[in-house]
Amino acid sequence: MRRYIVRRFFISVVTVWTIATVCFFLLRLLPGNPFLSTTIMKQDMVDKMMRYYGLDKPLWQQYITYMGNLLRGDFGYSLKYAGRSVNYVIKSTFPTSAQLGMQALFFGIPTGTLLGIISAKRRGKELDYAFNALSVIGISVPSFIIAALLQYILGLKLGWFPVAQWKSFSHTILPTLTLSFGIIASHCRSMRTLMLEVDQQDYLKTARAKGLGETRIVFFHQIRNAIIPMITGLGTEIAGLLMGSYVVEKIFSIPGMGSYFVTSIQGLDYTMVLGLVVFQGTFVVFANFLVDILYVIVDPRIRIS
Amino acid sequence: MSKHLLEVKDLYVSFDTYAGEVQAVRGVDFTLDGGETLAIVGESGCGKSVTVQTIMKLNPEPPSRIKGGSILYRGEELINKTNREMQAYRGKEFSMIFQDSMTSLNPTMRVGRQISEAILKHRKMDRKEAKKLAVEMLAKVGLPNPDKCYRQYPHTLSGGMRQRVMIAMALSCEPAILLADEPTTALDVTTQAQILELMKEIKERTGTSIILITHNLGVVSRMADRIAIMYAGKIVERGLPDDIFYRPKHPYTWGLLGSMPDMSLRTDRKLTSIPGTPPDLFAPPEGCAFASRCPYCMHVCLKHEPPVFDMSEEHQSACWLIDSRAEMVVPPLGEDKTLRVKGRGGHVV
Amino acid sequence: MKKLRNLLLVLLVATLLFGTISGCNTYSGGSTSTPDQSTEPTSSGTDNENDDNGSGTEQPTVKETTFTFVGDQPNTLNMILSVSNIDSHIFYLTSAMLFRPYDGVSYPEVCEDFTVSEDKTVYTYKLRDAQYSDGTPITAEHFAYYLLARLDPEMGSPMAADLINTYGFLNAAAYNAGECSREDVGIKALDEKTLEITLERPIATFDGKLDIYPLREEFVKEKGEALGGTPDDLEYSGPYILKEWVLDGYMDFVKNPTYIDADKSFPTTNIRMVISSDHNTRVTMFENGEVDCLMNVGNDYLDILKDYIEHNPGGGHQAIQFNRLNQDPAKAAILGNKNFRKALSYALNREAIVAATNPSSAPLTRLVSSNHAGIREDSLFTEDFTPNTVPAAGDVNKAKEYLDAALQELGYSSVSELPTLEYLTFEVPTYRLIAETVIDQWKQLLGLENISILLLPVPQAIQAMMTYDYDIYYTSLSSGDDPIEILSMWVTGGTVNDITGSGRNLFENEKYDELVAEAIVTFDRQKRMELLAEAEQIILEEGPIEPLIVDGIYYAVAPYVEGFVYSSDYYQFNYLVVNK
Repeated sequence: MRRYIVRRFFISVVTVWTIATVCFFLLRLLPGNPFLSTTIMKQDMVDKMMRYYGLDKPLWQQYITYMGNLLRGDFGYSLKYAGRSVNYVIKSTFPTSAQLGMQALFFGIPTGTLLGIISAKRRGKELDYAFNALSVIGISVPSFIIAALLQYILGLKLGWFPVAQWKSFSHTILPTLTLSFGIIASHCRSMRTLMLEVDQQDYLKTARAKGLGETRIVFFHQIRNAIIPMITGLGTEIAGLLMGSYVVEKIFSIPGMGSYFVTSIQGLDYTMVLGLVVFQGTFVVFANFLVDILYVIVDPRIRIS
Repeated sequence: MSKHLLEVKDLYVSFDTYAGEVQAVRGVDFTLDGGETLAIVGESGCGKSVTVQTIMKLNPEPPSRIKGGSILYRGEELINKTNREMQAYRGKEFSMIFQDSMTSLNPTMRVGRQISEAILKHRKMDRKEAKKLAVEMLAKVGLPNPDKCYRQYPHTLSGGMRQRVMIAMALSCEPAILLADEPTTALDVTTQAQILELMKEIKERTGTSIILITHNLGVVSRMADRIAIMYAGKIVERGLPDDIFYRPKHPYTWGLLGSMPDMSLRTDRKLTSIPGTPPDLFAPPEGCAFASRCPYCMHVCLKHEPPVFDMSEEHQSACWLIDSRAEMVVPPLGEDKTLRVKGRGGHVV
Repeated sequence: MKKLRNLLLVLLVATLLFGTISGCNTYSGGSTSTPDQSTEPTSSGTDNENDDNGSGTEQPTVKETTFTFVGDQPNTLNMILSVSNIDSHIFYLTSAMLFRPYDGVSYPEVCEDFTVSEDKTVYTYKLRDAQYSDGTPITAEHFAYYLLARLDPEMGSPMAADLINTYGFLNAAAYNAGECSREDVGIKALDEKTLEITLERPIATFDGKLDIYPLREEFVKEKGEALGGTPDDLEYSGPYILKEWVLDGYMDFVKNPTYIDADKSFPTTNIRMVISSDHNTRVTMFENGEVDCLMNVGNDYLDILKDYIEHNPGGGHQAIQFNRLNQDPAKAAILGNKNFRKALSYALNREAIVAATNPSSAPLTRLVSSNHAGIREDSLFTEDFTPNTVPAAGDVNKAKEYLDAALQELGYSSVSELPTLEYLTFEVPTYRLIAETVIDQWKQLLGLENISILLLPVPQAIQAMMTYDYDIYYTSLSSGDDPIEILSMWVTGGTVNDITGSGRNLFENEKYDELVAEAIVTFDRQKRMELLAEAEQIILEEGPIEPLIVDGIYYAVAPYVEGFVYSSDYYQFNYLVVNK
């Protein structure tokens, strides 16, 4: 087991390095440069700026410099926002996005899973249809519509929660609910499917044949087995949510990381894009790594040979 | 009231599917007394598993439906009991072991725990006592290192060991009836023999009645006190082992017996099989269900279902050939003019 | 193994919980509690103390007031690399200025007085005593450094060309090209309190009132790349100190007691700028009373806030630009044909376009902006001079006439024979909408079917434009403060005309160049304006651009706010009072 962990860790590091390298070179293939904006500049001005930022040096040299800094954990400074270091941006915005993401996860996954279980148990009845409908809505309706609805109904009309900004716990409720919608919907559907698959399994018949009560069967036999496949996607799901949602953060004026992903690539802000990509990549890679270890712990059939 | 331990009368069970009603069990009756082993034999799809599972009410009510009949256990009618009520019976009064032990055990739970949870449900013991009893059961079914075995997961055990675990689980609460649904089909021959020995020994030791479902007549010959042959949801012949092996009266039984491979015959011999396939249970035929495959089929067979004829108190068969108006038919003999049955020596009928 | 597994699970859950709990302190904003005022070491001066509790000083305690508004987050507060005027909004608050513009007039601040040489090329400024928030005195060298750093070719400032073109400091262009050293440039500190600016030639539009900031070279060198990123990486010499900047959240300003005119202006003690990019949210905050002012109100909300709305018409000019330097000679001929351009221009009903796409903008049929001063400082150029140009509602008949003339000149018998032209614009919703409306009008009124819209992300679109790789381009230009600014962009070699500096000009007209060149040196205001009016007429007729709309801006102010002045360049809170 230890050797497995060490090996996986090493592979994760190599993966992150590959992500950084590929992204670094891919970015340079994009047409344009970071300094094109609505302010029109003559070519010699652009050249001067490139020189100032060291972008005129040969590419491999820039790469070595960048990697060297990366090893020290220094993502560099944004090209678009002078003086703003990428580390600072991540440091300022990530905790917010992460908090929102975690709240949505902590609320959404258990709720969705529970609804999925109930839905499976009440298959074919009204509750099942209701939850199914809700799931479809939750998955298909874009988050900005849900956000606007929640803002209007719960925020403006009923006045229960603040409509925007990120000032206190009650400010986090509406955005959390918005984000959770999709999570609940997808987990409800997948848990329902998994539960129904398990329903077909023979060991449930055995359990019933032993005379065990339905509750015990559901909890100890069904859920335990149904939930294992759900863990697979958990790593990427968590990583994705923690990186912030551009739409939700924009609507609720939450100072999170989501907008930087979008604006940095639009503006070809090399350092910012790279920093964010490497950050997210690392997160995803290690989240998956942790999930794989979790898998081994949770499913006794999976053991490292 | 009833003198039998278990009495099944006129049981009709159907499944309501999208495609229509599947009549899986069409009028089955049999009885079971204490300490005896009843073997139900038939090919896949004949309804034997459904019958037995219906006794325990393990088939979820939609889509399955008990259309009629009664199941009396110690005189008590089980047909109308709710799921909840049945929980008191399952595991305690009768328990079941299944064919595929790999899928029938919860892969994420240690086997010992799967045994003790049954114990904890039905008997008043605390956790430690239950564990002790579970370990004892594991020892009783012949598993080495029962303590270590308790903590194993199903996938780390061999097929034979798993089946033993299932038996241990089934017997842990000392049920009156053990329903064994093809318990050895998935095992290799050696293990098969061991498991059968085990079951025999347990039966002798504890006096548990067994309903043994199988399509393997060889297995039957070792274990059964009485045999019932099922086809297309009905029992077509029943009797004591001698009746069935030496004096079978139903063409289907002849076909089953004849299709057993015989080691003494030449190896280039083709295996005889019963041509055709069982009828579609969506629309069972109005006459005898075996008619389309029966080499002795008569006009009446196609139109009317044969009644049950008694050859003796124990031996019954449902075939028009037995009727005195039918032609005398000599049952097909093997190549060397014997009907041989494995392990019993040959007699010429 | 079971124990280990349980332990690991517990650890995992604990980490997650811990993470959440510790992350719970990510809230930005809190209450607008009054922060205490002494965030920097107080200066040694005695006449600018403001005690918290009014214990035993001669000064009366200043009432704490807070002004909260929704504005745009600055891109950077690095004065050298700053390009956007969003940043200058903030500089106005955090930095002292040589001259401080307010409501259209420039007032001396750090400058005590100044003299101008006979030939109007040398300007000498005498400075008052002023200091940064840490007590360091502001010297002439600092103002000089501000300009020199932005001209330094090594500092990569994108504004160098702008400075050179606007002021033409002596040797500035050479310095920026790396041909001379800093000492040769006509920006010098003669001593601590004297700043001397030398121009290469006199500029008629320059009144000597430079709105520049002091910048310390040591500070810039010390901060390096981090300059202007966080409140600690800024120098404060202005009315306010930036106390806190929560990225994408808000910016908190506190009154700076060491500001040179602290007792005369900027009465509000605390300012909070809330950063919110969603219009819906902004409006809700305004309605809830959470903010006192919105600096930009989206078009859809004008009705809701109509009691508080103000409109400012000045903004960027948007025009349709024809690339007569197209590589394809057939297309080049078409795009360079005056009648063709006129046809397309007269076919457009600009009023309808404005109504359909952006009600806060206005139709634009000329180049000079409607808020530029004219013959006198208090007159408007657009009222003094009316050019002969396309009517705002268009003229379909004339358009068709022009089109027929163009087709004949170019040798096409019908409009459907024209090669397909591409209309290039930004992949931004408003621009796309305008493009669709324009194309639609051309199709319907002229039968011009052979035209397609090409949407590109902003950087790519600009690059295509700069490489002359387009047919028709939808351009947006700032209109500047003076008519000469926008007109001088189009002289031969002008910043927009010859955009890459390669010598290829979209517009080449000798008379136009003459007029503008003369205007630059004409100090007689009226004469100058007349020359510019003539130039404007020429470019409207012969030039490669057809003006379309001018952007405007709506803002909302709560009724209890007094002294609010809107400016597109600065947050002019000089006399703003919140009476809550």
